[in-house]
Amino acid sequence: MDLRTASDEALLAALPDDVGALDLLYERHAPAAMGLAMRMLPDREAAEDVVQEAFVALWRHARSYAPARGSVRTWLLGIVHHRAIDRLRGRRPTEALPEEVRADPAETDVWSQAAQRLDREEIRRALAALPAEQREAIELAYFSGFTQAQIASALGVPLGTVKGRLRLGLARLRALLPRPTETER
Amino acid sequence: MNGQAHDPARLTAAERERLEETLASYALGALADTEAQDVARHLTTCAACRALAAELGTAAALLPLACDAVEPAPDLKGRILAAVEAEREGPRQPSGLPLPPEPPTAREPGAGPVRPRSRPWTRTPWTLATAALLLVCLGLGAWNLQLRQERSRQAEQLALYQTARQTWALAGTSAVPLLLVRGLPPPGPDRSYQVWLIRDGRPASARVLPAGAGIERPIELEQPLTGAQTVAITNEPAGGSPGPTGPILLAGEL
Repeated sequence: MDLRTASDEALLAALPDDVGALDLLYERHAPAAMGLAMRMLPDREAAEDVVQEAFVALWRHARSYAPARGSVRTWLLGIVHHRAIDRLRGRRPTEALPEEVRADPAETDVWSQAAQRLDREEIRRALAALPAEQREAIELAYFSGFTQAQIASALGVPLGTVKGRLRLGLARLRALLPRPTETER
Repeated sequence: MNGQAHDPARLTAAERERLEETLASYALGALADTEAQDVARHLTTCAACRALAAELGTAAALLPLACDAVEPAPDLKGRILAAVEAEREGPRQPSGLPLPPEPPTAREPGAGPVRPRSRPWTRTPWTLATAALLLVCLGLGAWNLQLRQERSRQAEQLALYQTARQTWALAGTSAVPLLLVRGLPPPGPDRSYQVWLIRDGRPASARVLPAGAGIERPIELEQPLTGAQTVAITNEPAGGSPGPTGPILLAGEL
């Protein structure tokens, strides 16, 4: 198999034995992983540590990846996010992978599959279209690792307001993202 | 949330809304640890919540894709591959099996994976939850606005300053202060920003930023605030000065 033209899934399947496959996965996804880590952490050194931990975890747990839960890139970014949150909250880094919720197979919706193909611009447009206070709450939660209570305290608004903004914001984000077209199904 | 499965048909609108609030916060990682554990337990028994949580989780998982890509340092790949090679050579469990969480201290010397450049957690004090609380500004356009609208100062926010063009704040703890300045442009070639803590009129350097570097992110001060009355930032020759020589760009009373 020519690794260079192999899909991400095929590269992951070649792990952990073929370290060359990890090299290629790094080439494809390290800038995205670094982008997320830099967005979340205050310095480059910490961001690089987190990216390193995430790629080592990807290599170590490659066989527990299931394509139904999303793309390899989303999986990797989920690990980066989890490790960065550990740091932001001052937690010891855990070996465990982030918990993933999977709908029962019969209920897996088409949207989840199609969502994996959205590009950066589409997601940015959707984020930009959120009301500012909902976007702010979502960003504080997701990128800064704030809990509901911390967001409420940082913004000086009641806890219930924060809960509502997170709920409405995420629901709206989902609704704003392009629906899969019929041909994609 | 308890172990009972929900029947979506029997929930009132208000109940459903509360459930969605909890699950949205869960998907975004915004629940406190104990609450998140409760939700995770509940999800094992409730198919309706599991479906909703998966849907919200898919939306949340797209957020990182909105970030700008950043080129990692050229040597990072080598460090990762070296760490992996070292782990392959060490005695480990059969590969591919999901590994249980291992306490980092449980490994015998030399037997565990090598993690080059990984630093002990105690040396990154900004990870303290209290300090993290005020890392509000990371990449957030909302930060300035939020500070301007701030009605009451939080305990973790040590001070908030406003000038005509800048809003800036001290956060973290007095022992590990963080300076949050929004978008101070690069100081010019061969110049460095330097932060000072002034005690009884005597300035002591609290941090010198790399030459040519603007301030975009929270910076950790290298000394506690103890006894200081003023914090100030000046523009100095690259590498900083023993005492402030350049113009004071920002200054605030503590």
